[in-house]
Amino acid sequence: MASSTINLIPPIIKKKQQLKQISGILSVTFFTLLIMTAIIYTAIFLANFYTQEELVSAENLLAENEMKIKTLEPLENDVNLINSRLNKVAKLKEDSIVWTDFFELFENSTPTELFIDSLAIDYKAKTITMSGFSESRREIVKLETKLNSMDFLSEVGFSSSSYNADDFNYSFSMAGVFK
Amino acid sequence: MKSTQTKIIITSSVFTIIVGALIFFGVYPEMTKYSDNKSKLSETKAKVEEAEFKLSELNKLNNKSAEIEETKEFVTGLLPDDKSNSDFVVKAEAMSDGISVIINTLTTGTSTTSANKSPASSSEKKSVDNSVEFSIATISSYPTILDIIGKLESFPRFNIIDSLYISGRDKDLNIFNFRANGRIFYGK
Repeated sequence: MASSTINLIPPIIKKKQQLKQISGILSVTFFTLLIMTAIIYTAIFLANFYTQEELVSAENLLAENEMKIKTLEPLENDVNLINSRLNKVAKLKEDSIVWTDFFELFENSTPTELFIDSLAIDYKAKTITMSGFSESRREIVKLETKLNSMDFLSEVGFSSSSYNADDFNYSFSMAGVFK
Repeated sequence: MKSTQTKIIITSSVFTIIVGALIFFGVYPEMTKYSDNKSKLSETKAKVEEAEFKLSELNKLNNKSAEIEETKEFVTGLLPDDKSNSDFVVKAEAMSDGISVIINTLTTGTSTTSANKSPASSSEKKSVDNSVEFSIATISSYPTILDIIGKLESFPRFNIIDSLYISGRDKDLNIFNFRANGRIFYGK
């Protein structure tokens, strides 16, 4: 059996009721929006408040540390001075030679039967010249070979060697260059 | 009925304006402030961390302050701010007393400023050297000459020996004329 409903509310009242309903929905929506805005604002305000507190304490800590650093700054300057001077010395040492090492090697290279009378070293001009005497020319050649094998020297050669009848030995003069 | 509709429209508009104003004048500025403070805070925190690291390093140095002071004294002696020729002469005299040798000639001469290019480095980096030339001459045996060279190398004032001359051997006494020319350095 089919059923049917009859709308007995007059259209004007129905319209009024609809408007009332819309007004209620809008009121709830706006009220919710207002409450949400207030909650969001409060949340941000509180977060900002704590961030600001944290920022102030961080700034105070920074200021305190900076003051402590300032009192210790002369020490840092001293260390910088030490480092810069030592670097400068190291750089200058790069262009120089340790003469005690050189002479130790030079002595070890000199045969025992050979004597050196004079030695002239000009490290700026990178030259070395020497003169002396030996019992035989073989010793002079030995010296020449050994000096040439040194890390410091190259192109070592003896320019002259002559026999001294009075002393029964050979005098020589030798020259070379620093590497 | 029309008046109810108008009321709804007006009320809606007023509410929209109120909420909008709250967001625009309240929430938005607070949010901007918060974001600013947040970035400031992270910046400050990084600075604090940096400062704390530096402070801990400085505190470590502070524990070694006596050692640093001693090293500073040694280093400024090695490479003083100014020429300090007389100081070098005094120290050289003291050195000769230590090895019982008479230094016949001790001169400190012209100061030079040169730009040196280090051969060890391939870069074109140049360093300026302020130096004063010196010359030491004596008559001594070969072992004493080696002693003098060794003392000059471990001298409290940094120096570089540029040239050495050993000549004029006295056959009877086995002594030589010795001369060393070099440079002492200064400058900041």
